[in-house]
Amino acid sequence: MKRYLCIVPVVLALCFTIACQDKAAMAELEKFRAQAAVEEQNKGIVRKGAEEKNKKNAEYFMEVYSPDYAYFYPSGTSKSMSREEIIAEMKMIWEAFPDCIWNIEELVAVGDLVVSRTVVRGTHKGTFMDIPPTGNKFELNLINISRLKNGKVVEEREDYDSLGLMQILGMELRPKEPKK
Amino acid sequence: MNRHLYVVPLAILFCFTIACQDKAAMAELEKHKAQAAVEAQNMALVKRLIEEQNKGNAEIVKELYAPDVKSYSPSGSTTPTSQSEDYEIAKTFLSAFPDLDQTTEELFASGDKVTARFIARGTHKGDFQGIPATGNRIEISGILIFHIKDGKIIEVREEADFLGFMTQLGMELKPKEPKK
Repeated sequence: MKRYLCIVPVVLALCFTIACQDKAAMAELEKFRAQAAVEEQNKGIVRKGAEEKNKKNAEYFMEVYSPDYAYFYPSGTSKSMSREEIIAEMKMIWEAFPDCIWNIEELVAVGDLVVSRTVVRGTHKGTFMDIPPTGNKFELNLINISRLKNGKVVEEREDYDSLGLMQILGMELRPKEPKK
Repeated sequence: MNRHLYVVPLAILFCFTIACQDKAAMAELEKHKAQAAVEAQNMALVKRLIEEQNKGNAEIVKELYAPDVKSYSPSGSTTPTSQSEDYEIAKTFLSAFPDLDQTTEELFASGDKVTARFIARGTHKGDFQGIPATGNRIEISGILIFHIKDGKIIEVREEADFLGFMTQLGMELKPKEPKK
């Protein structure tokens, strides 16, 4: 029986080596899985954001935007808007375009970022940026990059076709008139 | 010595069992790693596109865009532009802004999609959309979503601050004048 005993440490060492190799691989796999789970969760939050905008639920955004949330439009501006400012703007949009619907066309998540491409459709029924209601229907294209942390949105950077929207609302580009 | 021998198949069986369990996990890990490699390649491709454009090379569009590429700007446009149109757009832009410098503020990949958030700066030195050179320094930010397949760009979706851009070229928004 004693003669078997020397095999035991060899087998153990072998198992240990394999287990060790696996440990690193499994840890790497777990990292990938954890990231995928966070990405799915973050996508869900952004998707729900569009739904809550459609329901005109301002409360939701007080909850899901972190207190130090910052909004950047155009995406590269150095001047950001706060959570309270962006919610006030949302309400203004709901008044000017009461039937507007956010429709996410494309949604991808990478780490703590979510990119969404959205088409907003609605009718111009209230004053918007000093333009009285035209009754015109519009389609606004938008790309948004949201940064999330622990289930809260901490940053949004956005670009949208504001020129196209203003044209639908009856505006056009003309050379600036020299100041008199 | 013979008595030791039956331990050998036991050890092999043991290792085999472990290896079998791991197979599924390892396959999953390999899939993640393969995707990460493709994502790194796709990001390098977009980086190269931007770098070459910064050098004034419009030809890069012909090289990196698939022959049947579709470009959407605004991002939800119903009339996408083709490879040859995109080449012409790049050429026009680079001749109007020969010192064009696009900085990539954010670049990330998810599967076959790459998102790039950029700020482009340049000097208006040539005719652009009917506006003669103003010498103005311009800055425009935007977000691009590229769809890449087999090392070629097959789809581009873009939102950029064109209103701000046109304003910097001396244009302004005015109510449309009724047609006479």
